[in-house]
Amino acid sequence: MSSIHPDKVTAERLAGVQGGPQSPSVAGEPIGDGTLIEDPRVRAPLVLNDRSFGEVTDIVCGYTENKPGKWWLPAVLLCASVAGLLPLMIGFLVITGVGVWGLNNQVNWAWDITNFVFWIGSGHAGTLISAILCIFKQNWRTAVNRSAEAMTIFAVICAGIFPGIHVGRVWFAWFLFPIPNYNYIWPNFRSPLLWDVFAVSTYATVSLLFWYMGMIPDLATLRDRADRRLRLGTQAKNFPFLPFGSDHLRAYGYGVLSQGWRFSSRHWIRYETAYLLLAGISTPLVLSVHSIVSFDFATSVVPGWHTTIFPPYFVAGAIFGGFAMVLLLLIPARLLFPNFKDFLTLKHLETMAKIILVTGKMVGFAYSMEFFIAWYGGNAFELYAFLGNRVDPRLAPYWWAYWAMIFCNVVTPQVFWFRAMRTNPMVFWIVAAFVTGGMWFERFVIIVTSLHRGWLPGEWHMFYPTLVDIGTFVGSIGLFLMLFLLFLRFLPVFAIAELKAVLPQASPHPDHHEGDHGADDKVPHQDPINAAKGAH
Amino acid sequence: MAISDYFPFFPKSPPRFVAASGAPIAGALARFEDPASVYHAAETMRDAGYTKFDVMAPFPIHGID
Repeated sequence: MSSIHPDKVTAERLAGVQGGPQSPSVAGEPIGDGTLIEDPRVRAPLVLNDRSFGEVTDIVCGYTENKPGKWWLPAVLLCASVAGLLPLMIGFLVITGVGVWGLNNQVNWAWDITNFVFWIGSGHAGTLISAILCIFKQNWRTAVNRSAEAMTIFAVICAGIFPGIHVGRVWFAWFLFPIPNYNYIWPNFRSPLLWDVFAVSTYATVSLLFWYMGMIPDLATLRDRADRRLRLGTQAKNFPFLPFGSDHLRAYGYGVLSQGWRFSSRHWIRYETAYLLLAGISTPLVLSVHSIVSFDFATSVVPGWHTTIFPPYFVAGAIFGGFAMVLLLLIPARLLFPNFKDFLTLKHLETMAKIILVTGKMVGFAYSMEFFIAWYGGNAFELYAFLGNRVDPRLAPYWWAYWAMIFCNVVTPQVFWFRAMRTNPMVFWIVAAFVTGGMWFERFVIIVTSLHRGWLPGEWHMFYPTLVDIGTFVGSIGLFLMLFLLFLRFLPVFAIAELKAVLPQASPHPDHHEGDHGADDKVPHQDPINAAKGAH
Repeated sequence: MAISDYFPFFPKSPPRFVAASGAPIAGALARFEDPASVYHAAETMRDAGYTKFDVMAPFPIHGID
């Protein structure tokens, strides 16, 4: 972890330019909020306005301790009532049967699996940020890792609903798991649907552990602050008719959750080791989960599904859609929460815009490669699945879904070639919304357009969603947003300890040029002879 | 914890460190405002031969272990 530089003078000095103040042209004029520095030798500050440690704590804890804005309660009530659709629709489905969805003999997977893949994919940015960017020491992840990991958990919750209910007889959903039973009924271990159960449950477990473990120090901060107010007698007022107030709940609730964390250096060593181990465990998960989801399709013999490109294509699409989902929710949060912009700077947005651009191009490449292989492979059915089922408006009834997907996923991210667009949160939010919609369409296109025309033209059926289909999907969106709003209100939205660790004043060796921790001091910075003597 | 804390009839050994007021001293706390000074204080403590000390910090200070 290298230190970041608060002001231009220090930045230039540390960038290798000798002496005191240099000409301002070295660093270039900062644009926007001051984080967009043209000079690649200068690291942009990760936290704006020279926040002190105490201010960082106050701001982040303030989101849970102070009253939220007037928007919060109506928003969470709205989302909760939309989420209420979900149990209604699922209850109706269980009572009546899967016939209440628009499925038919030909299209036997439709919105249910589309939504499953969509939600699983939406969570991928969180895992990527927390695992791979942690291992690569990308310090900018501190701005988004907590909220992106939260989104991963909530998206997996939404995703997990759909395979469970689409089996039809929900009371047999336990057949999904290889549980020993008296009838010797086992799932088919060669079926990717079983691997899916393992992949998704591993993913949910590891993501939850990662999220929770990372939160322990910050929960302890919240606990200590509530405890301090109780001891000083400045706690929040008691609830009406009850002998305790919200600070009692905080002190006990966060106290139980923080598991006796005392901020000791001995704790921190274990914490960092465990964090790194979990990052190592999650890294293959970033790639494996959506690969296995893609096997659900790729191992079948349906034209349009049976392609080898599916695993990397799905993974790139998941990261693409996941980052879009992160930004879709965090850009409004930047406006709605005080000082949020100090931690989620324009530089962070620009970095994520570049990731969206790169993964969007990967997805575009996969779309075109599918065509190439369908043509080059000489399989007439596969070529027809693409041209006749998806692309050609004269032949394909779903051409609009295909072209909506291409527009949202391939065309709209191209605006990020321009820096003015990459650094404009409004543009960013619109693109993120398009990409999120486009990624839903991608799964719809893959699933429904491949299925709706079987080998015999007599089997061809269109898929029309019913109100129950729509209600279930909208309900899952409501559930996701409700959980996210509750997270913003009750849990530390930023990793406080990690934010502090990337502040410039967190370095225990401020005199050194780059080294900010002991292990690096063995590496000679300037004078190899002195360093070899152990000058530290 | 000495054994006499659990069994009051055991003879108490006199405290090793006594404050001016006569109260026994169990330990000492110091507060530092920045990581560099706590790092150097920990170095000094270690070099002076102390082993039973700990550093509480709101974030991991690298190299302090």
